[in-house]
Amino acid sequence: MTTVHVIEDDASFQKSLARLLRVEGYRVEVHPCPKQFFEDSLQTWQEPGEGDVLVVDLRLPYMSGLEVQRRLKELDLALALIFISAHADIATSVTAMKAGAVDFLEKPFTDQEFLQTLRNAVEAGRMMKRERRRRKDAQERYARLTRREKQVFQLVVAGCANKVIAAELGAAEATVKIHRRRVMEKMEVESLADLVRLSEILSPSLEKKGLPS
Amino acid sequence: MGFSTVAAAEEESRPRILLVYSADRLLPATVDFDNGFRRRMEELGLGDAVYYTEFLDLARLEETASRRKARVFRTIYEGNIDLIVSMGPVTLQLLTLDEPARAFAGVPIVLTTVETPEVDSVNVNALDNPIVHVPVRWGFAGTLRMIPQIQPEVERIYVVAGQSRLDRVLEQRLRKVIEQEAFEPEMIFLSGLTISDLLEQVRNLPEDSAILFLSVLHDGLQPRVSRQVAVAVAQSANVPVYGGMETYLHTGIVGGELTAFLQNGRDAADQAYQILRGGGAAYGTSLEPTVNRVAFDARALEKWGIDEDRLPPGAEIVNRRRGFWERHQSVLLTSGALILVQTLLIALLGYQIGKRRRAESQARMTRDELRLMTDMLPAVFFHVEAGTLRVLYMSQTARRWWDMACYPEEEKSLSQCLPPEVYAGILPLFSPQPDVSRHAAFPFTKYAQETAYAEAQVVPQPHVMPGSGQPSGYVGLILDVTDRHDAEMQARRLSGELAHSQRVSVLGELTAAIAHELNQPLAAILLNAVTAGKLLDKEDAALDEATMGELREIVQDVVADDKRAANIIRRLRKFLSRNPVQMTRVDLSQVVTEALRLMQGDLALNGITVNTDLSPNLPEVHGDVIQLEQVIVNLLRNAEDAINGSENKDAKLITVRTGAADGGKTVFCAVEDAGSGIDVVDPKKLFEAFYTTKAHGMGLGLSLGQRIMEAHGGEISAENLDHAGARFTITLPSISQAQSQSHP
Repeated sequence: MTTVHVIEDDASFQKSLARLLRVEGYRVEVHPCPKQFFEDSLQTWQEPGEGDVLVVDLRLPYMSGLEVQRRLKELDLALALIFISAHADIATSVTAMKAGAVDFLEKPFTDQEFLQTLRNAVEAGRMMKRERRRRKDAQERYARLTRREKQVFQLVVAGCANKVIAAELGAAEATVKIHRRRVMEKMEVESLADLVRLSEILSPSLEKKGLPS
Repeated sequence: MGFSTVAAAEEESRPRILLVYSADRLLPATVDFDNGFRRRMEELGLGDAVYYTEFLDLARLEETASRRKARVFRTIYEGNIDLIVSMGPVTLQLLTLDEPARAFAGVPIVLTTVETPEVDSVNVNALDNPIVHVPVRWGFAGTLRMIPQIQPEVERIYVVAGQSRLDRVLEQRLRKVIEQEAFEPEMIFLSGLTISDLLEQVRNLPEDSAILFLSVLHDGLQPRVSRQVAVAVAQSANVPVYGGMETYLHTGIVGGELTAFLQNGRDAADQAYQILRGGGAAYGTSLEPTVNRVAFDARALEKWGIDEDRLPPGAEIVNRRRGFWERHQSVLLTSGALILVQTLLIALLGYQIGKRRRAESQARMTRDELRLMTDMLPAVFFHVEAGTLRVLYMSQTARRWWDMACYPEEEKSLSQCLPPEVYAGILPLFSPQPDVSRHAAFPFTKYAQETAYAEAQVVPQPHVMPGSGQPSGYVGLILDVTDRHDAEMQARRLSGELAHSQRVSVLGELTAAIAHELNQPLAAILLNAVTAGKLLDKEDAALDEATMGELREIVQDVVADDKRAANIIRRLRKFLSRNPVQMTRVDLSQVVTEALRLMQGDLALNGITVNTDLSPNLPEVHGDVIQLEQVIVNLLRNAEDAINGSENKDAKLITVRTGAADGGKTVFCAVEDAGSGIDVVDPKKLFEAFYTTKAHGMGLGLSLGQRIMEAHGGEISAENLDHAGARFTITLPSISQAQSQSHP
């Protein structure tokens, strides 16, 4: 069952939103402030459930909705985010959307608007989750490679021929071939095309760490 | 009966007169008649008559209530009265009720009525009382007849009438007059409109119209003062306005035949005098109606370009434009007079001390000179004996102002030499107690019709009566300060408007926060209502207990949210109200709480935390709630700006404290911020209008705050705090314990 987390400081609005969600058959967890949310959540779950959504008010005491978004990224929690606000300027909403929020609703909104947005968010959350799983998978496989194999991997997906790789690394072409087969085995792929796709999934984390040289 | 024995013992030889009025105490007709009657009685030497005055208030009370009231009068007065003066035929009917026997049988009655077609005769012979009827003509009818003569081009006459019972009675009366006489112009009645609708109407009347202003004692919304409505109508109307009452003169109304209630009172007094002297007037007769005044306002005539030749012959013209000296006389003289009079007071006192040593002729010369000088002043100057308040001297200005002469040889008391309102105004100043205030200010009537404001001062004579240790007499001065008073009123009104527009501008800056605050409950209501709909759809026939509980809760929440939104709006509306200053007893902590609620949304949007330390049992202060709230809102806005402009983003804290100081004599409210502090070379500049260090705002907040505090007898101060930020403090005098006990 999808759980909808709501961070909202206005008690009566929080209550009305939770009520609508319950009637619509969602599980609802309400949190009066971001601090509470992070404390509660991180203790109870390591990973948000499949398709879980976080509804957060942009204007909150002590920590704004945008800061919540940033914090979620830092913690690498895969939660689809919906922002709501009683009065927001365009600049804030643009920032929120750019940072990956699913949608932005201005109060007062109708139940249709909200429920549709929620369904989109659930779908987006699922996709995020799948992608994340794939990335984690790829990362785990990548982690099995030795330093030399990683170098070979990079050059292979960059489209270099064995001869070029051998020259680049100062190794015999036969050795490169062995490395290359090991890489294919460890990364659990059959073809070069699959290997390139995996490298694409991995690329953000690779870029961050920088290419091994 | 206790009453009668006391009355009999004290006043056996003095005539006892019961005056019964049909209207209430403050109706101009009543006041005029009463004044005319009493003054004339005094002139006739019956100043010592005992008056009992009662008001039936027919315009407002139901008939049964009036009947009961009349019955009460009967129980009180029957058998103790020498003469009844009754204003209005209905009054007479009520007074002489037939149950169980005729009341006041045999007591002579002076009956006055406004003679109109519908009351053309009162059956005076049906009663067991000797009656003399002193009618007065109804001026409005005369005015109506005059309009076509004065303005032949007029095709329509609009009649302005109000909603009170009396208003409607007068309207009916006028309709009768119109029915009986064939009028050329079309008559249109503007009755029962609210003041704003009425003014809107009279602003846009077609050309070739005129207005007859009847009476507006109630406009359907609230009670009104006819004269004030007349002023407003005359000011707004695009055509001339006519009237039929003396009270409407000097309101901007053109004029007309004015019902002479004052003269009618005098005529009634003449009859009363005859009756009490036991002779003269033949009972049962109806006298010729009192002659009405036909008067027109020169400036109104000029405004509408009405030729004076068109006015009825013998018409009186008032309010002619005065010459330069006359117009500015009081301004020119008042300032000089104050100094001169101080000198004169000293001179007169010196004269009093030294008079025994001077030769008689010398004394007379000095006295005559002094009198000449005082007579020239635009002030009434007098000298009275202590205790009896017998007038030893009164300057001739009194004669000019009030047409009341007073010479020492007449040995009159002060009450006989001054109009009642002036006498009442200065009487408290003659207390033998040494520490009472000798200053007074009060409104009075000048030249019989002009409302003026006086300031009076009384000085006890320095030498005292042997034995008692009390002063032997008092000298006093009554100054006309109308110009200054008007200027002050005008200034007060303008400053009220300035304060209002600053409030509007502050709320404009808070719009974002207010929208945010209002949207919260609105959004909650919407979702709750939708959810309720869904619950009702789901369970088609029978609702289970849990759903019912949920629905009940939803309804409660909707009500609570609606109230919350309504409260926000109420708070805004109050803050934006344009009411004149209303001084009431105020708890400063409550004002601070209201101001904080108003600012709550904006403070939250700016991420500012407010720490409050509000004393729950503050002594009350005297003040205007809205203006005080405005001062505090301005201080909070300043603190907010100081924080937003500060480098230190962590210091988003405002501290608000209230408390009592000086052992409860004063009450204060301090607003502290942790912002950038005050960066001004001259702290006084801070409170100057249009001085601002901010990008937005007009720089009016603090200067207005200071002005408001001054008007409340308080003050506002600013200082930088040691660590960071600034503190603004307002201080107000509290209502002391003694005062609060004497005025519960």
